[in-house]
Amino acid sequence: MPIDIASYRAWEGRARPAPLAALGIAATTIRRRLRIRIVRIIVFVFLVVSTGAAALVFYGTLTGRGDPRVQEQIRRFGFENVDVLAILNRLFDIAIGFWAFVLAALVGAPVIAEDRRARALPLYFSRPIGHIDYVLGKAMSAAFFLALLLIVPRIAMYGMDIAFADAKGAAWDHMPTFLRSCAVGALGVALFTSLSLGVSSLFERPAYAALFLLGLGALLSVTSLFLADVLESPGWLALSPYACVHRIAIDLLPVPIGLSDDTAALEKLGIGTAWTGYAAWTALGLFVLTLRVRRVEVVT
Amino acid sequence: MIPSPPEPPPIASFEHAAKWYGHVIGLVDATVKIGPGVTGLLGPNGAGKSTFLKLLTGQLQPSQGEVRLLGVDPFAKPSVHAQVGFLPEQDAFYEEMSGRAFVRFLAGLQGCPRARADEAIERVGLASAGNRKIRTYSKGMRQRVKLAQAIAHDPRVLVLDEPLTGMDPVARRQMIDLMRDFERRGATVIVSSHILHEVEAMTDRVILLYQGRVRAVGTREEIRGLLDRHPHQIRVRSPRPRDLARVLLDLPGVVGVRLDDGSVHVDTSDPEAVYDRLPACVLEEGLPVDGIEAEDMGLDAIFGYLVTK
Repeated sequence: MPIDIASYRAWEGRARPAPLAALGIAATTIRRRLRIRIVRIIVFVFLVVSTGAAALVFYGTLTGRGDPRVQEQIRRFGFENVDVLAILNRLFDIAIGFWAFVLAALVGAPVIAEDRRARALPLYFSRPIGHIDYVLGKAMSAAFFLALLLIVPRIAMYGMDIAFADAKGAAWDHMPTFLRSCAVGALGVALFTSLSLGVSSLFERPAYAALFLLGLGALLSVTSLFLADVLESPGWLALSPYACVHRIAIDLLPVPIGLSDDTAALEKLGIGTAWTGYAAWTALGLFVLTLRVRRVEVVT
Repeated sequence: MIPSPPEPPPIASFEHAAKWYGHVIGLVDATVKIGPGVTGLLGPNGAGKSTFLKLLTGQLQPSQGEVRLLGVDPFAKPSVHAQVGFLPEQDAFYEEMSGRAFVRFLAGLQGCPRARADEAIERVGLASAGNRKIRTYSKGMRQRVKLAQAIAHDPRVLVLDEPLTGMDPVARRQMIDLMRDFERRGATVIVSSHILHEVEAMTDRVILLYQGRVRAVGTREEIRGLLDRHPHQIRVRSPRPRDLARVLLDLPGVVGVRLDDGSVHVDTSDPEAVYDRLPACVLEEGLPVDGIEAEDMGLDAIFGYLVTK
């Protein structure tokens, strides 16, 4: 296999910094992540199962309203005159919390760590891209997967809500609930992306970064619950990033029925404290990321 | 009198540049200018070659001093890298990607079309293996992938860190030809190596590094000229080396001799005098001589002098 000079044609084009280098980095990182089976499984299961479950509920709830037996069931569960879309989104939030951490550990935590381990950073930073392009590209890849988990099912729910609704103006009437639910999803995406990339920038082994993120999530959840209980101060719940997002979801998507004991406990956490906790965790992730990647001068 | 045209600005320059990692020194007070053509960066492992190249390619920020590439600070202005191709010393791959996909991805970051990446793959002789995963590649093939991603955008400045590592002799020759091709087209090639004969084969223009310091800059002859105060070495082969050594010690300028397996290594500050008078001495004393050769002009000799200064 010769290095063939004779066949080489000098390029007459002009190399320019790719204006959307971050998109190129994100696309390649997404493709590489999708080669991991567990990532594919989680994304598929949540997209299909959550969308399918939502379809069944909407079908039963909305199309069966003319049936006396269905009406009786709706009354029994206290679903009468409530915003079904909001309830579904809240139930979705309860179900999804743990898996959001798992997915963040799988798709966010490894992305910078693996570049450091593969010594790929010189190849990035000897190109016309800045540190911000690099971080943005990696963040977009993690956000893509998290959005598949946290936002796309909400869009599907809204779609079915409209499809099965009796009233003609349902799309417009239910738009505020839909937008609020998407806002909750976007807050989750931002938080988990920031935290997972911050953790990723601390490690050189992707597995360690993933395990650390999962461990951190579990530790913070347990510790926050323990301290809130022992000290009888619900403010400690803000130690858990997931609790903060969940509390904000309760505020953005109020429903007049109790959905779980956890929800009831979380409602004691002040919304201001929850927002503060959310902002602090997201900022901490970004701060670590900025600090570490800014200092990633390529020393191998 | 017509004024001479102003000297063109260097492609790359270091102005009292230094880099240290905590207490570890990477490079100290480096001041050099690099123009078009092939320039060799020579030094043993740990001499500071990689630090030099990383400063040059903007991967490191100098702790002190200034580094310029194509007139700008490469650390602060990543856009300059659109005109730079870099082949790192260490393997840096996504092993599960194919060589072609990897080169396409990196070329894309340069704003370079896919077709151009494919041409680079062909140029380095990986067309038939381009769709295989990188993890299946041999060391030499990995070097070719690294080379392809460095040349895909036809850079104005090509920076190669130990490019011949792992390549067979034929591939080495081809790599050197490729550098020459870039040189012919007006590009600047900066290539590092710790193997002296490799650098000799690649270029006559050399920057010598040792213990983080630039020890010498210039052509082999220029560097040798800087070292006139150091003795030149001449090797004289003879079946009677002891008798020959005694005669040689009496010649003017000879400061020492060393015997080694049928040879006399002569250290002299005046090599021309040795060459002039040696034949006469040999004839007068009746000493047989099998051969005379200068040992100095090899980079090995120059490097040996510099590192023992």
